[in-house]
Amino acid sequence: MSAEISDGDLVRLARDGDQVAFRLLVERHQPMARARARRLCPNPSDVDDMVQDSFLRAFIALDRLRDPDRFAGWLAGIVLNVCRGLQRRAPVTLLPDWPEPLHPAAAVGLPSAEDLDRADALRAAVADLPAGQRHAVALHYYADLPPGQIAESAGAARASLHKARLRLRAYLTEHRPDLVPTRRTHMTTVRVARAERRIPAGPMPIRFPSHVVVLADDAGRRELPIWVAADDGMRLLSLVEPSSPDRVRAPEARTVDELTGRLLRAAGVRVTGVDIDELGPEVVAARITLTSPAGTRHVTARLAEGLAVAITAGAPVRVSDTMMDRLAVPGDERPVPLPAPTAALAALSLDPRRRYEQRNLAFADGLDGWFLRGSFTGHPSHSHWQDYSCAAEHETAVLASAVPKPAGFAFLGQEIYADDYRGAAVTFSGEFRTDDTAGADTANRVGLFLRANREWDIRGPLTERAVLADPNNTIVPIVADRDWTRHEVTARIPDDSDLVVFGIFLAGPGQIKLRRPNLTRT
Amino acid sequence: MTTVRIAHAEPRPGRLANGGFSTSGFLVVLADDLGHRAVPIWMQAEPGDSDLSQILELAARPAGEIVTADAPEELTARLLNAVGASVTGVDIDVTAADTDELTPQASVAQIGLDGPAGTQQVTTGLGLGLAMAAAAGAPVRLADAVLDRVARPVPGDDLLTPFLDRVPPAGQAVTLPGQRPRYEPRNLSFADGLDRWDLDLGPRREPDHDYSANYSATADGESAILSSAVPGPSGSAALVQAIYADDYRGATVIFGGEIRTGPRTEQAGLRLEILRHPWRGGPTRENHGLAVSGAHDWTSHEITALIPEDADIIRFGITLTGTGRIALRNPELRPAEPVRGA
Repeated sequence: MSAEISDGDLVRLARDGDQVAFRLLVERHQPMARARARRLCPNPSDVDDMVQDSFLRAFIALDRLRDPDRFAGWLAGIVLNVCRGLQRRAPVTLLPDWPEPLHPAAAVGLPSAEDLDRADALRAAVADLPAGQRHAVALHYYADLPPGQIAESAGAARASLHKARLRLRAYLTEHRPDLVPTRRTHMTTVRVARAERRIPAGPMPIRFPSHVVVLADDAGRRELPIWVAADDGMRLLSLVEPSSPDRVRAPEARTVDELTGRLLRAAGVRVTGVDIDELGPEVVAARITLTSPAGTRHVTARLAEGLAVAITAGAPVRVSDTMMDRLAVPGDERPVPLPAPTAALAALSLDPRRRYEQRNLAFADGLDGWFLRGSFTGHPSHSHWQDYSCAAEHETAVLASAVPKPAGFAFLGQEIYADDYRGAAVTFSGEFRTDDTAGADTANRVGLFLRANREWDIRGPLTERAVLADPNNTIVPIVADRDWTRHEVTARIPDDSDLVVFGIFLAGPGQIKLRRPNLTRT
Repeated sequence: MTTVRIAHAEPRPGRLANGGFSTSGFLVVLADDLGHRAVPIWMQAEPGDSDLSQILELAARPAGEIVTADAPEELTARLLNAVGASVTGVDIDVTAADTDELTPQASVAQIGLDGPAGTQQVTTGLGLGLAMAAAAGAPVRLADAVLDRVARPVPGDDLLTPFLDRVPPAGQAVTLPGQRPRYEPRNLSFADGLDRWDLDLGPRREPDHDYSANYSATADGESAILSSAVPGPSGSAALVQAIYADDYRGATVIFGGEIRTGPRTEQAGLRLEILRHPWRGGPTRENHGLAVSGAHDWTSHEITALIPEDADIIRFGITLTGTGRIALRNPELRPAEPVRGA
């Protein structure tokens, strides 16, 4: 299914926050990862765990991959490390708070070049310690002396071991950051408190968030509201509401969630937890933990799907502390005081009736007929809904970032029916002005666009890269220019087009202004 | 048991002539390729039906295309795979002994499972069972005796067209036939014939009956004529133009025109309809009609109605029920008072 798109492109899409791109990478490379894990894991029952762990680590570290086109080799290295980490885990732990041990002597069989490399790095780090700390490390890690007995040994104090760990971490972080594993994520147990529709029913962009699911941290008196799309929202809403007795007693599973629950039970599987965390920039996912006679397994899923599984199975839901600290709100008030997307929603114009002709080109009626869209609304938290803003002033429309580092991209456009333009070349023109920031760092970050498409064509992810690659879009980037400059973009409107969309876009900080826009047949 | 292939799960009516897309249900076809026969199933609001359609659609997409859609059954399959369990097959059982049609109402799906806890079976509905089979890549099976009853011979490769008649009228219904509406009335002098005017034959009470032969419409000079085409026609017909209601919301509008009816015309008149999208809740259609009888010469008539703030479509025109003929000229749709903001 993904044979024609390169690994590098998928990695870039995944970095843009596209979960499907990463899923495609997983599908593509899972056979390789599994084969490699089978070869490296002495216990076949560990293979699935190793493969899942490897992909999880790859996802987390995706931004650190220097050459996206070498994803396969990079992943193979991660599988190797994860499998070796498993082999070392049981015999000894060098630094207990590090999830991935580093002790080379713990490896089964002969040490590899990587093991020797790590050993050298550790040896250098230990050699750099003061004498007392070095002695404590030797006693504990090489002579297997318990911490309590270290203080009884001449020249070493128990406190020295603690200090040694701190110095070792600092040394390795500075000199060999590749050997420093990610810290274990701390999680907060939450309850799926409720789900509610926050945007009235009606037409809206595909997968546009309309419902809010509220996760309650009862102990911390906090609530985490999470936006989900309409179909996910309705599904979770039905799960949060108590089932009718008839449904419970029904001889056959009537919903996919009931079916999933029954299949898992029939397979002897318990869902023991669902962990929610940001796996990468703007990528929130659920990690479902399954316990069966075959052992413990983890499966990564979309957030809403993970919540559905947790509710159905009665499993605890945990959210990473970093997410809770950043996004949770005090839970004393009802309803949840969302950073109301009212202004954003108004600009988003969720139900703009399309016209056959362009209108309000002088912005005399504000932004009536224009709408704000982009990838910045797609995050399941509400945290980026206001990253971009738009306004009309003095016959000019302004699209601007509202925070220093806005997520994704935004566009301000007008959408009209294509009926009167089919088969013709169309030119969108106007006068544009940007500030120094917009488009200064990277090409293609600000400009004007013209799009023709069939009404139901939008299937791909709304990421910056996907939009740039979409043949339905004709995009003209603009370099930063503080003076009003005229630009235009021309495209042919195919005979089967339903819609023509034109406007300005911005990806990143800055602003772009538009005046005297016009759409003409050429 | 015979293994069948899920050949189609097509949304109906699907793509509309006016550019929209509508799904009333799904026409599912199970193919017995070796037996050159197939089993049609109509599913409407059946759990799993849209998931099944989506899984098949995604499987048919070109290589390399990136999509965001997925079906929940795919996660279920992944969860099972993670613990070493697999769906070994989905057996369709018919619960009504004498039926010769496979329907969700008279069938169940038995999902076979092989995993750490041994071999198990889970019962579910037909839609979910097929969706699960599609997601897990598991075979779908029917008992030979059942297949002999519910399958139909299919000589060619087209496994969809022969079964389109299984879609009931409700699944074929298109609220607005013809072109996409405009915001203002057009072609009121019929200079372009019947462009933008649609002959609406109403809901089909008998799906096998060809209602299109009962009535006809034509433009004649500056007038339009709606007439019965056969003696004793069934149902009723309307010749109407649809426009978006946006510019009339909150206003009282008058639809008027000059009417002339033919001799022995049974029921004829003017019609003004206000339509709302189903997602708005409440009634989707509000009818305002005016019967006109004995108008053998051109006479003026009009209907007045308030257009609600949540109206989506206005349709106006003439209607005919039974034998006869009605002609319309100089139609006009105008606000009774200036529209706000105009």
